[in-house]
Amino acid sequence: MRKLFVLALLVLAPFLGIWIACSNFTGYAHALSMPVEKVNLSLYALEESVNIIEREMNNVKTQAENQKNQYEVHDESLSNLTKQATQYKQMSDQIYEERILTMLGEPIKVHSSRKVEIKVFKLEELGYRGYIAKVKLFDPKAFKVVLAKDTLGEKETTLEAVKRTGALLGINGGGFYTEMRNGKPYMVHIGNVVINGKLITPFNGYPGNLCFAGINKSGRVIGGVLSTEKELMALNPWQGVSFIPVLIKGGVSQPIPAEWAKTKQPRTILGEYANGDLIMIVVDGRQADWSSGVTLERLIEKLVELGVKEAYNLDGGGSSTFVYDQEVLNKPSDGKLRPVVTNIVIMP
Amino acid sequence: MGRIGGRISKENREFDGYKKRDKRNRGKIKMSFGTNLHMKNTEELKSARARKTSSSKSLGPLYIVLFLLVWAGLVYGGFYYSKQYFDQEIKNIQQTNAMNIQEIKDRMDSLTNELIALKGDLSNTDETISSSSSIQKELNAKIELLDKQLKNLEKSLQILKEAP
Repeated sequence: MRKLFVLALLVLAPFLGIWIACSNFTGYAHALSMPVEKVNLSLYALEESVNIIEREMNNVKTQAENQKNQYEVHDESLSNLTKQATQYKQMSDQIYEERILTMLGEPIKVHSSRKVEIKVFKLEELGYRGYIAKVKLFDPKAFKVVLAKDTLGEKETTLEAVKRTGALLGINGGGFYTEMRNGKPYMVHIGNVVINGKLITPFNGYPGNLCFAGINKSGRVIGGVLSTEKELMALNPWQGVSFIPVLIKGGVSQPIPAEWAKTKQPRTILGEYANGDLIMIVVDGRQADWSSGVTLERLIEKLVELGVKEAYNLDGGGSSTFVYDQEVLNKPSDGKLRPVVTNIVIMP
Repeated sequence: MGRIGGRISKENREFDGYKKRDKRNRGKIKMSFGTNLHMKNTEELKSARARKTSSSKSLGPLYIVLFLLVWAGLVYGGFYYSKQYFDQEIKNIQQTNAMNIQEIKDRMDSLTNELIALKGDLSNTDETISSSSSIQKELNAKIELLDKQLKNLEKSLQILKEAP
């Protein structure tokens, strides 16, 4: 029996070892498991971070979209306001135009192109007659001062100048005189003449009330009594001629020299309305049965009545000529066209 | 195994029968037949013991074989049980790990999808902000234009005010 017991112990010994080993194997085996708890903690933190970012992102997105929507609303409002402002300006311009046209009457000639709009009116006042051209310059290059035959010392009529240049409208320009050079008459312009932004002769600092009148590169009328070239160039002149005197400046009537104020004469005027439209006037004179001419004082009153804000007197007398579409509309006082040194023409 | 076992138990029973009979016969011989009979029984007994010793010696290897077989069986059983146990434990761990990995993978996939969605949102927001910036520039330009138009309007109204 004892031997049997010993035998049993021997037989069971390996199993006892196996049982001891197995009993703790579960513990060791668990060491083989992945440490998911740490990974899970990191994942939870990461998920939380992503969720926070997602929420913040949604907030930013919502705010950005709201801002965009607001901008779009503002954009539309601004567009409407701009459109309304433009419409009101057009309405205002139109009312002004109508007021001017009411003063000028019905146009007898009308031309409109990409460069210019010309309306010609008859001027019939007590004691004098003439023609008015209201010119709206879309391209300042349509306004030109042309030298007679494009040469210094030469002379030509306004009609010849209009035909030669292919212009639609023309009036005589600045003053001039004749001198003899080498036994031949030589036509000399008085004061300064600017063509295409350049003085055609060195600056002439003529003393007294001699004034420059023309347009700048924007097509606005410029002028005044200028004593230096610097003063002239400061006006950025594009085209211009010289004569005397300044009639209206900045909407204010200018004092007229006594010898010019009370005399009725044929007149040529270059002026501008407040809206930038040019006004070119030729008044006939020295013809009792047609027009005896106008004094500068009376002419200024008329110009103010018409609403003109800038006006300069150009060469008058027998030189005053108004040509439209290659036809002389006025009646020059000489009974024929006088050749002059400079003319102002408007290209169609 | 069964036949051998049965034979061994039969012989053991016979041997025990001899021993019992020997005890009973000892008294009977002393009482009934005297010395000669006693001698005769002793020889039988010796003979029986000799047979018994001879029989025990012939069964020794059989016991060893039986023991080894039983021991081998038990070892195999232990091995089989241990293998099953270890395999099951490792399989459990593998399954647990696989499930954990799958869970982590799912969560990572979910995070990846969320990040992709965030990227999309970021891109959309970027476009929205860029668009807003563009609209803001347009707004500034339109404000300048409006300012210009209002100045023009003011100028035009001023001109109109001075109209003839």
